[in-house]
Formats: sequence, C-alpha cells, structure tokens
Amino acid sequence: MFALFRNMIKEEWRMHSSFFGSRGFALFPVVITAVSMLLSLSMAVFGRIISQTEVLLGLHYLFLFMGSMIGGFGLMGREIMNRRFGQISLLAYCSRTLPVSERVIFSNFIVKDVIYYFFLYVLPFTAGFAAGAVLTGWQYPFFMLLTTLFLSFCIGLSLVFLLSTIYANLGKKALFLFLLIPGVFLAIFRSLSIFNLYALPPLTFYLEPAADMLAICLALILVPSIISIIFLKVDYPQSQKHYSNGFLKITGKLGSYGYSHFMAKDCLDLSRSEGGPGKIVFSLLVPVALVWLFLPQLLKAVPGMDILVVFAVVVGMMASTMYNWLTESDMFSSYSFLPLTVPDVMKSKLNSYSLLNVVPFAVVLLAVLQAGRLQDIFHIILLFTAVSMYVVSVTVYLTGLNTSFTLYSAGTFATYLLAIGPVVLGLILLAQVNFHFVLASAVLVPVAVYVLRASFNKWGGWEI
Amino acid sequence: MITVKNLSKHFGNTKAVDGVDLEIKKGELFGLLGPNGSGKTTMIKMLTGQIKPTAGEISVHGVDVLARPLRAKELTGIVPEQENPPSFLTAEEYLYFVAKIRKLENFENQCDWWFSYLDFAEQRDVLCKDLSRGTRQKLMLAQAFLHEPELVVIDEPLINLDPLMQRRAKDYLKGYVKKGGTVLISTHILEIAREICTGMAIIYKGKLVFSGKMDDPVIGDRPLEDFFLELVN
Repeated sequence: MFALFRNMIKEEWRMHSSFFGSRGFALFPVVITAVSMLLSLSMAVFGRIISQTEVLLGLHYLFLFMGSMIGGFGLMGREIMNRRFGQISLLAYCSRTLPVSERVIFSNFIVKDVIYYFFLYVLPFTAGFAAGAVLTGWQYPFFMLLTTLFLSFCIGLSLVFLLSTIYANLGKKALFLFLLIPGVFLAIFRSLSIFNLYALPPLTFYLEPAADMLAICLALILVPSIISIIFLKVDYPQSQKHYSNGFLKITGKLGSYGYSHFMAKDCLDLSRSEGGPGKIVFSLLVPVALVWLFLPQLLKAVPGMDILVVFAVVVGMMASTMYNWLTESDMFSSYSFLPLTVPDVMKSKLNSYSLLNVVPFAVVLLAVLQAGRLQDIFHIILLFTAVSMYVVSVTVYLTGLNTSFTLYSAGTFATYLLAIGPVVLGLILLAQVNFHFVLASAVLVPVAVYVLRASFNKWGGWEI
Repeated sequence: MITVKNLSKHFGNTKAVDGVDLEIKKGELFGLLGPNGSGKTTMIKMLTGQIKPTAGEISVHGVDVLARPLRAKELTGIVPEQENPPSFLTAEEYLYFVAKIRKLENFENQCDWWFSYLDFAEQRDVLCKDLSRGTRQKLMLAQAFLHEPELVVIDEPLINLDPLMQRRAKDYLKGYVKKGGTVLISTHILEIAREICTGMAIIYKGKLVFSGKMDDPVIGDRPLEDFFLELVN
C-alpha cells in the first residue's frame, strides 16, 4: 500500500520534472511564494478599498477552485496525456494490470494529490502571503490560514471526485441535476447575495473558530471522498459520436488563404474539445467582465489612473491565454512526418490567434463606447493591439507550442513575469503622466515582430 | 533511392545509431530489422528528416536530407511508429487536412478508395481520438500514400492490424513496389520481413550487422529467425 503511494508521488514528480527539468520545477514553489508575497504587499495600496475579510474570501475561493482544477486534471489526466504525449499511462489507471483493487489505487491517488499539492501550492502560497502581510502590517495567523486554505483546497478536490463519480455512474444528466440542486435551494430558501459566499465553512472557521465548523469542513472532505471510493467506477460512459465534415465547410469559407486548413483545424479543436467554445468565455470573457466591474473600485486606490488604459492593457494580457488554448490540443509530433517545420505550425497558431482576437477587440471597443470616449478610440485600440501582440510574442518565445506545461518551470515563469510586468506597468504610468503617451505602445509592435522572428529561430531547431 | 554514409545519432552518452552505411535501391521493398531499442526508429526519423543526425550523410531521391529536410518529406510518405493523428478531427477530415498540407487537388476519390480498401468507411466521420489503434494505423497508412510518393517509409507497418487487413496492406505494398515504388519498413517481426521484403538490413545496438538481399547466400537455407538470433547474440 505504502509502496504504491510512494511510487505515485515519484511518478508525479518525475512527470513534472521531465517537462520542466528537476531544478526548474523544484523552484516553482519559490516562484509561488514570491508571487503571493507581492500580492500581499500590494495590499499596502489596495488596503484602502478592500477589507481583510474580503481578501480572505478571495483566497479561500481561489483554493477551492484550485482544488477542483487539480482534481479535474487528475481524473482527465489520461486523456490529456495521451493526446499530448502519445500512449502513456499512470499508476492511477493500472488496476487492470496490477494486483491491487481500483479502490486502493484511487484512495492512494487522493492522498497523493492532497500531500503533493499541499507542498507545491498551499504551503508556499500561504508562507509568501503571510510574510508579505507582516511587512504591510496586516496580521494573519499563519497556521490558521494554512489550515483553512488547505481545507478549502481539499473540499474542491473531493467535490470534483464526487461529481466525477456521479457522472461515471449516472451520466451527464444526473450530474447536471446535481449541480442544479444547490442553486435551486439557494434561490428558494435564501436570497442570493454576496454575503452567502461567506458561508464557505473553512472561511467561517477562520473567522470564528469552533469545533462544529471544523467538523463540517472535515465532513465536506471525507463524505464525498468516501462516497467516491465506495461507488468508484473507472470506465466512464463514452459514446462514439459521428460528425459531418466541418473541415471542408470551414476551409471553403476561408477560401484560398494560406493557413485556412490550420485555422479550420484549430476551430474544430476548440469547438469539439472538453468545454467547447465555452472555455474561451470562461478563461477570457468572465475575468474580463469581472475586471470591468471591479476596476473602478480598484482604481480609487490609485487616483489619476485612466480606467480605459488599464482595461486595454489587462485585456491585451488576458487575450494571450487564447494562444494557450490553441496549443492545447496537439503537439508537433502530430506534424513532424509531414512537410512542415515547428515555425510553420507556430505561424498557423498565430494566424488563428489573430482571428480570435476579434473577441477581446470587440470587448475593448464596447468599453470605449460605454465610457463615451470615442475621441480616444485610436489610442486605446492601439494600446490593446500592441500589448496583445507583445505578450503573445513573449509567450511564444518562452514556451513554443507547449505553453501550458512550460510555464510551470520556475525560470520560464519568472522570465515571463519580468518580460511583461515592467512593460505594461510602464505603459500605465506613462498614460498617467499624459494620456497621449500611450501612443508609445506602438513601439511594442516591431518589438513583438522581432521577438516572434527570434522565436521561430529558437524553436526551428527543436527536435521531437 | 536512399544512400546513407557513416550515420550516427547520439543522445548524451547513448549511441542510438553508430556509423551506419546503407544503400536502398529504387523498386525495393526493404526491411530494417532489429530487436526493440536497437535504433530502428531513430534511423527512420533521421532518414525522413524528422531529427538531425550527430554525424553522417543521407541522400533520398538525390536530395540531401540534412540540407533540405522539408523537400525530403514532400517526396516521401511516412507512417510514424506512434500513430497519433490530431484528436479532434474525424478520420476523413484528417486525410483532407494532410491533402491540404501536401497541396493536393482532387484527392476526395483517393480518400474514398482508402476508406473502402482498408475497410474503415464506417469510421470516417468518427474523431481520431475515439478510433481504435488498428483504425488509426489504417488512417496513417492512407495518409502516407495520399500524394502517391515514390518512396514510403513505414515504422512497424502491421503491428495493430488484424490478419485480414495485414494481408491487404501487404498486398498493397507488394503491388506498389511492382509499379516502381520503393518501400522501407522497420519491424522486429521477422515473418513479415521474410514474406514481403526483397532486401534487408539488421541493426543491433545502433550498429549495422547485416545488409543484403533476402536470398543472400550468407543466410542460406536457415530460417531467418536463426540467422537473426545468430547475429544479435
């Protein structure tokens, strides 16, 4: 039993370190600590508009979300791995070949995830945040914060395991109904308000420590996990769907454009992979909408800052996440035997990225119109376009076609932050001096082109 | 058709391929044999311009593969060892995608013929990720021949196919060679090599230990398995 657990930990570590190098990955918690410390230090500025309780609310939900993401990746891991790296398997999926029951394997898998990610994310983040708070004078009891963030993380993880068990045993409709129930109850018996969010048990326990609340937290972790283990089902319901030839239709619409076939493929990848086009909405439009809602409040802390400038910069940065989605569905080995180079595939992804940029472009345009600042439209659109181009060029240079995995390397992530942070902050500060100075962002366009050319040279010699 | 001189590929201290000289003539169905991990796939990847050798020269169709790997890939059909067509295209869409990359026109009938010949027309509208390994291998075979190349290089050609489809694939390869094509297959299944190949090379621990015709006097009347084991032991 312990040998299985130990080997699962080894496997997880080796999988990550094979992507990013042992040292690069070992330093990742250090980067997490540094980032959370910076976040905590920024409260010296934002503390005027946000309370300590609101910060705690955000942190606990962040870890709840993180737990569910990691649980989801763990469960879908085999499919994702096979798609990107060919036929590989993990110990978690070896019940058919090892003389160990599925329940024993799954129990080990849960414990492994909890311990591994405690040291990878929860502990470094809490340490950095608490250390920063000491400097700003905001006091957080370290062990209490560590405990409740960890509880949030575990609740997220165990809830996803429960959801996957429901899906595996009862199908998609049952899962949808299960997700609908809490919403219906909330709507009937309680008024839906922001204050309901404070009912998250780990947060309540942090604010008012009591044994019964701790028991509720533990129950929320243990009950779904135990149910998942009892009703464990490894084979998920799968149906072999049939599709009409969408490739032909899309290439027909794009005409003789040189990259039309790649763009058609990207379009089909996005629409047919897990989450469909909704993942762009979730990863881009939802955060953008939140930024637009909260930006006026945040900017009260820094008087004189132009809301549209900050919004255009933030949307430009967020737009680059779409490149990540475009590279998510395949890797170069799918093309290496065809008359194509790595830069050919990168260029095709950048073409699709440019097309997808219509979405954030429209968002920025709407924001300008809503703000009633039509006279500034050229400045703002230029700023958005230049930032989007620059950030994606840095992403391409640093990560090539393996964006989501490579950014986990501590060195790469730190370089990414250093290459982007000072530039975007500089632009925001320039605009604060004089709005017309945002035209200086035009310089980023040739810089982005230069960085992209360097990327093609860098990744052109890449071997599979 | 293929000329290889002093070809080597090192991964750190490991010599995956070590000083190989080889010549494959036009119209041959040539087998590259060797045990698992002997360097066959590395050799195939170098010959098809997928990875750069540490040292040596490769010429395919008179094209210097090191200098012009893309040209070599244009002229060659390749079936890689791990069949991983893009996940979210259907089998038919994948063939159309490859046809577009290879700048082919009027390829639809050719695709239909392959779906019919390898008996997977019913899966033509199924996503590649949902196809069985055998069907993926059929798809990869079809994409390699789509542009009717003069040379096709296949890494483990029949490993996932059922006996009926193995027979069809072997028949196709033999007919293709008769019409003037050249095929290089890499395999560790000796029966396949014995049955369909006209020439062969045996590679062991990265070194070439034999190269010649299937009826080479050195082999004599011995079963190919005995000859192979003698060399690699």
